[in-house]
Amino acid sequence: MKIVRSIIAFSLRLVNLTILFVYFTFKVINSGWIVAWLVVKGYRGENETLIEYQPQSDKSWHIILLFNLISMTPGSLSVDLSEDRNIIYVHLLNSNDQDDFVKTTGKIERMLLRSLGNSKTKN
Amino acid sequence: MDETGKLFLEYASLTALWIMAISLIFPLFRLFKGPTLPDRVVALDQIAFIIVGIIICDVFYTRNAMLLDVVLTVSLLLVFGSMIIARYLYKKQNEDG
Amino acid sequence: MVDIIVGILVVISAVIIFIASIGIVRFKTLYTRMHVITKVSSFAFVLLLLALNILFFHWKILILTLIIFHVLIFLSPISAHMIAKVSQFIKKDSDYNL
Repeated sequence: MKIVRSIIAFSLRLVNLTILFVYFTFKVINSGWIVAWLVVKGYRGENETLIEYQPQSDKSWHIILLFNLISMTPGSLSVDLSEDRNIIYVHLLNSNDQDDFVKTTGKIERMLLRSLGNSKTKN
Repeated sequence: MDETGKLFLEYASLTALWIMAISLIFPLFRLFKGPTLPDRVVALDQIAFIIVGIIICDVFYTRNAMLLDVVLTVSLLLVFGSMIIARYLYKKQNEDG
Repeated sequence: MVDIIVGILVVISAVIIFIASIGIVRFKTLYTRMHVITKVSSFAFVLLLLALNILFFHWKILILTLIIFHVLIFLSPISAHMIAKVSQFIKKDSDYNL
C-alpha cells in the first residue's frame, strides 16, 4: 500500500514539473517579445532601479530555481544573493512597475512550492 | 507544391544568414568601444550567440542534422567561457586589494 | 507546407537577433544590456529550435534540442549573475583598468 501511494505522489510531482516547464517556456517567449518591442520603440534605459526581494523558502534548490525564473520574468534581472540567503537583489528595467513585480513573483513562488513542495531532502 | 516549398526554405535560410551576418557589426562596435571590461564580455556573449544562429541556419540550408553536435559544443563553450572570465576577474580583484 | 512554415520562423528569428544586437549598442548601462542578452536572444533560440523540430520529425533531434535548450536557458542567467557580481567590484575603484 505504501508503494502505491509513493508512486502516485511521484507521478503527481512529475505532472507538476511538466506544467512548470511549459510555464517556463511561455515565460521566455513572452518576456523576449516585450523587451524586443521596447528596443524597437526606442527606449534607452533611463529610469532603472535596484530593489530587494525576500524569498519565502529556505532550501537552496528552490532558491536557485527562483533565481532563474526571476531572470526570465519580463523587465527584471536577478543580480546577486546575500550571504545568509535571505535577500535577492533584483534589477528592474522600468521603476514604475515595482508592485506588479512583487505580485507576479509571489504567484510564481507559490507554483514552485506546490510542484517541489514536500521533498524530504535537506539543503 | 513540394518544389516551391524546398525553394522557399532555401531562399529563406539564405536571407536569415545575411541578416545575421549584418547584425554581427553592432556587437563588434560595442566590443571596441566598451568603457569597462564586463561590457566587452557581454558583447562577446552576443557574438557567440550570433555564431550559433549562423550554424543553425546552415543546418536548414543543407538539411543535414550532423552540425547539431557542433551547436551543442559551441553553446557549452559560450556559457562556461564567460563564467571562466568572470571567475578570473574576481580572483585577480581579490589578490590586488 | 511544412517548409514554408519553417522558412517564416527562421526569418522571424533572424530579425529578432538583429533587434537584440541593436539593443546592445543603444542601451546605456551594463545591467540593461544584460536584460537584452538573457531574454531576447533566448527567445530567438526557442523559435529556431522549434523550427528544427518541425522540419526533422525525429526523436534524436528532440533529445538534442532539449539538451541545447536547457544549456542556453538555465545556465546563461548564472553567467550573467557572475559578470554582474564582478562589475560591482570593478565599479568601486574606478582607476582599476586591465
